[in-house]
Amino acid sequence: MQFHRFPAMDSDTFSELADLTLDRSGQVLHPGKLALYDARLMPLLRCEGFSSAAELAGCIRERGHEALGSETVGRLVNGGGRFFSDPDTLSHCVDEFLTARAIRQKGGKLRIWCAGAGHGQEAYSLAILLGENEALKGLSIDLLATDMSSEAVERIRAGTYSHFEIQKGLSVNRMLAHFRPLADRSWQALGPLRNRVAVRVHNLLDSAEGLGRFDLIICRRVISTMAPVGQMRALENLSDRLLPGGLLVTGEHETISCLPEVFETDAEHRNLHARAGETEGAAAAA
Amino acid sequence: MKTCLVVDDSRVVRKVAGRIIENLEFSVSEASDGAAALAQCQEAMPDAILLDWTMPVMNGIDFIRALRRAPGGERPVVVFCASENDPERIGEALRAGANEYVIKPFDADIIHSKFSQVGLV
Repeated sequence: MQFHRFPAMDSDTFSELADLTLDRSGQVLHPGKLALYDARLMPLLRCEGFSSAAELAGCIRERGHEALGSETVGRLVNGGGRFFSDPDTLSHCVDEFLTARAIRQKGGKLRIWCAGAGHGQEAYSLAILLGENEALKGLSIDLLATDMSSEAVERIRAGTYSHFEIQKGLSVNRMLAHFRPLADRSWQALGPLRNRVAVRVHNLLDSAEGLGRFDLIICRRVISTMAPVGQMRALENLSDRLLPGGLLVTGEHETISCLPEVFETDAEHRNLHARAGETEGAAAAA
Repeated sequence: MKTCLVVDDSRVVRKVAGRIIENLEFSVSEASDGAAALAQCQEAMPDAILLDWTMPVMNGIDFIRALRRAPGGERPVVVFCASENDPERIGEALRAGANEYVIKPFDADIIHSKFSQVGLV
């Protein structure tokens, strides 16, 4: 099989796509990472039949191609991910926070949102942990994964990971319990795991009112890549969707400078931000 | 410093895996088949073993069964490293005594991830 090689992105195209990205996602692209952005766009160029990133940018500009613009931005900002990234935080969320919340509200429904979910490794990691937690068995738990890229959302829905992706962060026992190999040597999440994760296209800059309200929102390595204006807008949207007493989880080493006052950051774990207020049933408030 | 024995009949795989594991701060030794690896283990048990499946003289499954029966042979953490991706076959390696499993081809991130899973790093 012969692969077409695309020319490296020129500086004018980078500026145009960086402006588009800032406008659509609030995120900032860095000129020092041109090779990375070229690699991220390559599948889209190949799929849509463009000969270069410049031709793609020209098509978005001249034809006002809204969907293609969003897809381009989604690909540029999506760096993939790994399973069980920061496992201590994930265990805290499931084994301590959600378990305590379920006990406090005497059952009922729990709702979790993986915002900016990329290719879904974090959502599936959470789904695996939820299934392993005896205290949460039998409870009604909604787990929603969203991303602004429809390609990313389709990948999450399919639950398919390359030979390399499946081996990063996932133990062999969990891999065998929840995934099966396909003919091309990629691995696909089994039906019961896929069914635990609902997926939807959503841009963090947009109001999330239609998604309902959540007990736990995990949004890692997204907010800090945004310009300050985008950060504020996204954080307002997230805080608006978090139930009183709910928890917002950001990245382990992420610095969030404009966290709304409604949040109180944990003194020990600086990436855990509790929303002030009394706990109430998620289902009732959704 | 922890020790790791890399067992594979391919010199290239031994070299590549060895470099990756050295970067994880292990002292690395090599063997090209299960029998040679068993002889090395009888001299001194390593902390970890990265183990190929198909090899001449003694394959990975026969090696790990013999290792686990040997005095002190329960101690090394064994990470199988083979191109086999059939869940049944992977299960066979685990039942024989492997602690983790890497499907070839691998990169440094995968080796690091799998060594983390079993508490080696």
